[in-house]
Amino acid sequence: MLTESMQINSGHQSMIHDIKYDYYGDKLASCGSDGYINIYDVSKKQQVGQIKIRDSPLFSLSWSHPRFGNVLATSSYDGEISIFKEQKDWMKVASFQNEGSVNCVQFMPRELFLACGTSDGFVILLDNNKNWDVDYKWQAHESTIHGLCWNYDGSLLATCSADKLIKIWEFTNNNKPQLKYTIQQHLDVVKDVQFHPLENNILVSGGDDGKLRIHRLDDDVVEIQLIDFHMTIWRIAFNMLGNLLTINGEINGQSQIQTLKQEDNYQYSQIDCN
Amino acid sequence: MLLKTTQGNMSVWSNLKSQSNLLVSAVNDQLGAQLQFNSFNLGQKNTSTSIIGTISCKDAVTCLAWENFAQETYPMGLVAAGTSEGYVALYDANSAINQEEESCVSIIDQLYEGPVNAIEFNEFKPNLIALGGQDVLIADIIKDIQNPQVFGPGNPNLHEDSSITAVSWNKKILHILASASQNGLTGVWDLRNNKPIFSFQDSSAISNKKVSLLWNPEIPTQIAVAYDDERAPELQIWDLRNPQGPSIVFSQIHKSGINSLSWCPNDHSLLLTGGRDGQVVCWNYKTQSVVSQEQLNFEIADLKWSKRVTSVYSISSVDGQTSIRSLPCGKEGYAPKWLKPPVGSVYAFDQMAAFKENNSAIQVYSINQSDPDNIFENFNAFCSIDADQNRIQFEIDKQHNQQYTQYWKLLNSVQKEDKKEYLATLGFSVKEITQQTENYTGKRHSKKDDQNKKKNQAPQRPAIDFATITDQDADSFFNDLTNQSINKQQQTNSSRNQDVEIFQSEQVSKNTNWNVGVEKIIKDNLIVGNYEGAIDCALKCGRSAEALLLAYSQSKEIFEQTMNTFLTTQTDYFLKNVLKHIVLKHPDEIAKNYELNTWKECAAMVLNSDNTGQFHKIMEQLGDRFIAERKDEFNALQCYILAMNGEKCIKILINHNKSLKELSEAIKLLIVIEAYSLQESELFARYFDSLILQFANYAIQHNQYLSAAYSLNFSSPDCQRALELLDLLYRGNHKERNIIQKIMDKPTFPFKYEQIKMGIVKQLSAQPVHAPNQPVSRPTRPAVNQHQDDHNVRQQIQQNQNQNTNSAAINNPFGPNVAKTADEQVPPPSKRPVQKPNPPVKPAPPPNQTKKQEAQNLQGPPFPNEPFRQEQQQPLVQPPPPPKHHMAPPPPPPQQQQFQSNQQQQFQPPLPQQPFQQQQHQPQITQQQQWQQEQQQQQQQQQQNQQQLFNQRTQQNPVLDNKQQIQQSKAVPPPPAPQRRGPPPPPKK
Repeated sequence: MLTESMQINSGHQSMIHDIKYDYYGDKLASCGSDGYINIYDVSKKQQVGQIKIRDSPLFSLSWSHPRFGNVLATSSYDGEISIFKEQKDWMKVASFQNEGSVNCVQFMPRELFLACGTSDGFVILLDNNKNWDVDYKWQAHESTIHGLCWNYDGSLLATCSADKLIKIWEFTNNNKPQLKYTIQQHLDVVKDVQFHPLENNILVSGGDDGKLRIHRLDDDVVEIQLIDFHMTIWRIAFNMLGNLLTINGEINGQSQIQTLKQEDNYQYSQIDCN
Repeated sequence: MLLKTTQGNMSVWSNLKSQSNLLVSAVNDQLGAQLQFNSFNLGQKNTSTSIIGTISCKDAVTCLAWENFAQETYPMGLVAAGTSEGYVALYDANSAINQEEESCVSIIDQLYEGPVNAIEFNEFKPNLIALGGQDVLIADIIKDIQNPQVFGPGNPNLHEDSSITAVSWNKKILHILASASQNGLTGVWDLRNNKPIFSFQDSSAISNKKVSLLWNPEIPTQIAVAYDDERAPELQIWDLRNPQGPSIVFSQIHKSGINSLSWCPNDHSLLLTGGRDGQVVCWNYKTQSVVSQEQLNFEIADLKWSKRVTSVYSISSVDGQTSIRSLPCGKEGYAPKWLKPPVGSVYAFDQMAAFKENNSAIQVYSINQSDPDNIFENFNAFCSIDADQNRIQFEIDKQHNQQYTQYWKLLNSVQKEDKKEYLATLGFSVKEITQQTENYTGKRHSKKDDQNKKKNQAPQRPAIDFATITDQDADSFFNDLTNQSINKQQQTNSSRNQDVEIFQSEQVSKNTNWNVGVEKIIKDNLIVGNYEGAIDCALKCGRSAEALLLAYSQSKEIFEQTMNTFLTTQTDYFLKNVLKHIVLKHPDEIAKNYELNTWKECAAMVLNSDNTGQFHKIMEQLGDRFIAERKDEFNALQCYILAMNGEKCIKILINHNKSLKELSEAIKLLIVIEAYSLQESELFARYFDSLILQFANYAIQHNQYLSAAYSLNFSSPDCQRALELLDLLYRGNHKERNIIQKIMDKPTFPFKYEQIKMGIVKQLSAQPVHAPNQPVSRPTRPAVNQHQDDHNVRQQIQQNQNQNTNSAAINNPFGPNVAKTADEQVPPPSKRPVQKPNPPVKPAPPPNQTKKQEAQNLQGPPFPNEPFRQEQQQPLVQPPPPPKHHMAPPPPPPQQQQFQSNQQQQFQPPLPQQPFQQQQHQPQITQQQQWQQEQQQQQQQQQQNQQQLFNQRTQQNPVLDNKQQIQQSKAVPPPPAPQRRGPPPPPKK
């Protein structure tokens, strides 16, 4: 189903930590330990932009919705959250300095409202409408937040952490985020959490215990599937409409990528891809 | 960073996944010792741990280990404590935590005369406990935990009389053990062969000092050794492949002896050392750099990384204080492995990009299109036809499913508005029936004469148009006649009876003598002018024709009365329920009563009765009857199609979404039904949008973007989700983008443009974030399910617009200040045929419109102070040029990149394993029975290679049972210092 089509020379000097397509899939941005963001034109297969923050590793990237133009947010190990806009060149629009490492950032769908997860377990919300002032900051977890994800309509934010928990925060109008669910199925660090792109109540998670878990959020959280991959799951990616799911993991220092496809009732089954 | 504090001058971490926040610390005093089980919660602000269990020991504890063992019996594992009196006590952690009386499981005594200095469980086989005291011993508790088997690692004893300060099991090869003694000697033992295989001694001959030692958890040939030597407080990493000297030496940081060492289990690049000088240093041995360095105000006795809590370690001081700390995180420099995703992937349309560690290229995969049963191919072909009638014809030609063929034929007749087509579709051939009739009566009845008739409607008598008959037909007519009369008399009769039943059902009087009986009464009535009496009599005696003729000659009133009487007194079903209504021109009555099985006759008859205006209504009624009486959707849908009632059709078709095939058929039908539907229906639009979205989602999931775009083109203009998808498909980067852009008009960007604001570069986040009760305003939306998307988005946009009234021009995409953005990005208004102007998204105003008008267009009723507002907002929209530090630094000069790459070159992992492995072609000595079997179960291939290394080592340096050999191995002279600190020389041979 998946076939190798081309390789893009990333231009990074060391490890890559995140890659993201923009809304229309024309541009691909990558960031890594060398502190660079590289932006490639996918069709032309060439690098079309580069942003250098500092020497500190960059862990995470997020493109904004195109109604704001081309806007990128990134976060680094030394705690800087930066927001860039593409004009003639990429220009830093705002930045925020956190004390410790910021491991993950994601824009709320369709909004310039950025959620960031830190190594000391805080979630920081930055808001364009407040000139990028901190909208809210709270201790969401006991320890390092490794991943976070907005659901499709921006009403829920899921966070996962080294404290083995997944927490889901509900955003209602003019209220601070309320903890709605806590999931404690994982036996070890939870590295990533992703909402299904079409279904607001389907959530997948994975981490150091090697298990991919698919949850349904109703009155309670119901675990609807569990697959053991016997490797550290680092990142999970859905395709555009959630019928494909890719698990990115590591075992004995080897990176592994496995793809699953959706069957009935949001059950996923493994497929051969490469 | 200090997290928690507790007591103890040594500690050990739990290795339980579920209980990783557990630490055992040993508190020694004059009376003996206590083991404390510390639990802690990093989320809580207090800095003390909670003691959840204690164990009392009568002698001082000199070393500690904790490992999971026999999970069923000891769910929280065993804690092993070596004591000053030379014995080891094993405790059940679970019973200690549950405060049970006796948690001691076993005492292994008579080991040493002096203290037990070192203890370590084998991670692969936790029943094997390595001990260090006067010499190295291994206790095996597998058979009998209370009387474990204790044995030495082999002869000769490399350490001679020097007492052991550290033992360490190899982290990859389970039968390899290393030990270090006070005289500075490090020995490696092969327990499968029970032999020492390697030893080295640092040149700076120390004596009576503690040597710490640990295997590299990643590269099984490397050992880290740290010396409690004031003169040379070094951390060395030795590689057995390069035995001349240490591969890496860290010095100059610790001012005094290093007396503890811990290799980070979660990032194998990191080592932690603690010294008598109170310094805690985190080293990255791969980059040969210091990651962090912390000066504490006490002499460090012990430190250990947490086995499972990343970045956390415990430090114990000589005077009995233990603290839990975390590696300072986020400072510039090395980011630990547990924060750095090594692999990841991301999707866009039909492609996926992925990166892997150790690969600087990003691999892009393409995802195949799939088209089960050619559904999408057919759909595309259908949609690419422009006219509806051609689409119908296409389906009639291509369709394989009879059910759908029937629908399409009906649609075809609806489209042609031709009665013949209708009748043919309903199963009646006008030609055939006319033929039959002509054969029967010998006259032409063809409808085509209608027009002629009208022309010829003159007083003169209409000519009878005799049907022509060819000679051949005539011949066969006679033959048929003969055959019929001979062979099929009965049948013919019966069928004739059926056909002409109405004419035979009455009792026709055969009396032709008008001077007797009823006929006389009729005649008399006529004579006296009592026509009504005559009519009644005629009706009663069955002379219906005469009665009707008489009535016709009188007033219209009398005729209708007579006709009514005639029709209602009939007992014949067909006559009463069908013919009556045809004559009375009440076709809806037919629909109410007509036998449903033969509804097509009904449809045809209604069609032919003159009130065609009612045809659609009647068909709708028939359809309703099918639903109500039989739940027969197939026939009901046919009726509704004839009724041209889109709403009723979609109520049935909305359920045709069980499979992709069904869904595509339903959508195709609805595309045409929508075109011919007589009513505008909101419900239709809503249902159709929902079906289209379902189909488009399927199509996108199959990477059939063209099909998705085609279908979305038929969605209603206020379905926001459809607009968004269409925009995405039109502009998105996928294989069918070119085709879509060629055949479709550019859709309007379905979102509201907004301008990003300039922020301030924040310094450390010490500022208060929010008063707890202050409401926070942010763009949020209530959770809705997918079908309400459009509504939801509209609401959101409404919300945004409301917000915008406060900040008028800021977010106004066409306001003067953001005109540049708008020029850049607003596409021309949509020309999509099915698109009406999209309410949420305002089209770009014509260029000659004034700005005020624009504002009014966008904001609704104008504010009296609108211009003022705009002016007031101006500074916000065009912020003053930001201070320099807001700006992104200029693109890095090439030198900087060069610097990067230079730096990276240093990062290259040292110590290639390859060269050594190439030597491994010699036959192995195989006395390896027991160990090897166990080995095979556990080891992976990679490790096997490394195991071979040790086999080879065993073979190359066979340490024989004589003194000479020992001396030889001891005598491996450390080469001069400069040489051994250089890069590893190539392996021998």
